[in-house]
Amino acid sequence: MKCRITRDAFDISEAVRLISSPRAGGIVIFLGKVRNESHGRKVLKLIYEAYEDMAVAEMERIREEGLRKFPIEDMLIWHRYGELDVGEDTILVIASGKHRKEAFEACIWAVDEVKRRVPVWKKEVTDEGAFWIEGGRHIRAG
Amino acid sequence: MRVKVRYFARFRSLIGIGEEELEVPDGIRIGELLEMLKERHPELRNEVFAQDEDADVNVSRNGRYASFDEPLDDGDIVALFPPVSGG
Repeated sequence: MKCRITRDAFDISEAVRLISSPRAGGIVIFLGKVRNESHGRKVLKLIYEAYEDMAVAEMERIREEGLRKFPIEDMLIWHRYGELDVGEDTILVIASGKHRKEAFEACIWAVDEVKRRVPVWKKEVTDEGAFWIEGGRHIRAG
Repeated sequence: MRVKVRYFARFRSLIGIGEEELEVPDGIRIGELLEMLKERHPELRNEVFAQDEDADVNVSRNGRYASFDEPLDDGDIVALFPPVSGG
């Protein structure tokens, strides 16, 4: 599946295999990670919640739009949810193209679209308590 | 007719439930349903119900972002959620 929401760790080799073809001369991979710091707070872990059905549907719409918008060969979008520790993978976006330029551009565009549209929410558990992240806002969680 | 309303992330915590089924007038529009929900759950009244990038509340209908003037059908699933923060 080229669009997937999962609790499991990514198998990046599997992802690259899924998107490879003899026509693709360049593959651009963006891999998001849980960082140990946010707005000056020490992050202990992230808890991602997802509206699973809609998240997959929205990722598929982004993929289809990306394939129309850029002269690329293929695109893959995976996102994780559940509890993730610092250093774990969070999002994987891969674009393949005949040449690197369009693959880089499509990859950057798709990551931005996922962050703006896909119904996934992160709660940061920090040394100062837990915070919901909503767009650019941080709201203390009950 | 009946519709299912689902709540996610902070809204689920705020309201205390993940989903509920409601009896609503035939052909009700999403905006009208939101007014009903604000009556039913006063916790939602402090949230901003707008339809732009600054909106505090997003609404989807059957898994797709929806506008407030869309009329609903029997059995529809409407979801309310805060701005997303994946990635």
